[in-house]
Amino acid sequence: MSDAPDFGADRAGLYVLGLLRGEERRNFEAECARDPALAAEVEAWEERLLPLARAVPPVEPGPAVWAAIERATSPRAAAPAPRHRLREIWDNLFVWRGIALAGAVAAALLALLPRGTTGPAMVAVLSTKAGPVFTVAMRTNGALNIAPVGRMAPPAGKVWQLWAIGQGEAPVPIGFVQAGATRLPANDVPARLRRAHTLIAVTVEPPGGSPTGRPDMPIVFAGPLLPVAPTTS
Amino acid sequence: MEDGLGLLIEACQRQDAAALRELYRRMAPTMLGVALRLLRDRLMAEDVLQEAFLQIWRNASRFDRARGSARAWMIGIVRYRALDRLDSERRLPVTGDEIPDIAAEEGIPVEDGRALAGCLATLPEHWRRMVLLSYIEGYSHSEIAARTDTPLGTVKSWIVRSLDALKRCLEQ
Repeated sequence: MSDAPDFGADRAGLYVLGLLRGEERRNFEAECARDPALAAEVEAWEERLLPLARAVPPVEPGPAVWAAIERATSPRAAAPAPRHRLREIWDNLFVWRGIALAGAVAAALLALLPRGTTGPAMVAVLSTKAGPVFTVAMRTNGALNIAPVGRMAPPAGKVWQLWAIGQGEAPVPIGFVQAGATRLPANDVPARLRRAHTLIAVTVEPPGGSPTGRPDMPIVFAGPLLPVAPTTS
Repeated sequence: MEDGLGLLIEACQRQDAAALRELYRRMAPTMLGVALRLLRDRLMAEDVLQEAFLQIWRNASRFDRARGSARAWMIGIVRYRALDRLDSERRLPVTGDEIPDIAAEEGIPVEDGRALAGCLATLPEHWRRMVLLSYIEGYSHSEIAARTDTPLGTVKSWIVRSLDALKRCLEQ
């Protein structure tokens, strides 16, 4: 038997056993987020092996654990209302610093593209406070090419969810970003949001994405769309 | 069957704090037992338990009774959280040599575990041990190989074959 992964291996079963580790595990979770059949296989294995977890001797937690949970879930500690958070995003400086960067990227792309080719219509540079993280190029039909600036991966067990936000509008989920280059098909971005200054943002969410349809977690990087050619805006 | 756990999770979807408290009362000891077994560090395990309950609270709406039991959903959350920790932090090596055979028939709750216990019993003993070392103790392929003095490829292959055999047996 070789050390290479077995082609017929039941990856859902290996995942539930805890034998997919590190990047392999994160990739598998990202796949589950996109593939309901695979997610269902995982759930079937969780059910099959559950009696083993129930056979482990229970341990009574110390009182501090519940106290901390109660603090974190009490209404006082609740996250700010979505509208406030939205305003925060728009007011956030690092987002708008992306404009200068995106402008530079757009200029560079323009210089490289022969006239008349079907290059991107819009670009965005998604940044954190520390600097640029992803470049986003969008064609007029809404198809997106997203490329990381360095080596990046979402936290273990999480996925990066992508949002488009028009000014004064609720964020619209438009897909998931992979650690490497990501291509998203045309039309995932609603036509009305394919315009300059639509904000493209990324949140860290559980596999499968935000359960509420709104970003549940803080924005980790974001940047506004800017037109590549002056005529497209 | 599920002692109303599903109903409690659905109440958490409506921000019912009393329902979360009741879920905690019923499930936290089992979940901490599982996490502690995987991590072997009480502080880390309690930390993971806390994160798991916050995740249950926030993601209660993702629970879907049609897709699986409430108990499996909650145990899954705490196990993946604990495995995240195992990925990011090297844990201390275990001192005890033998792991108790937790899958011995009397060790598994009868109401839902008999089928699994029966099927585990049909596996060769070293295969069964590898399944338990991974699921319960959180050992990786290479840790199991070192611990059982078995070549890595053989470990991988036996575990894959154990999964196939268990699935077939449980579907009968």
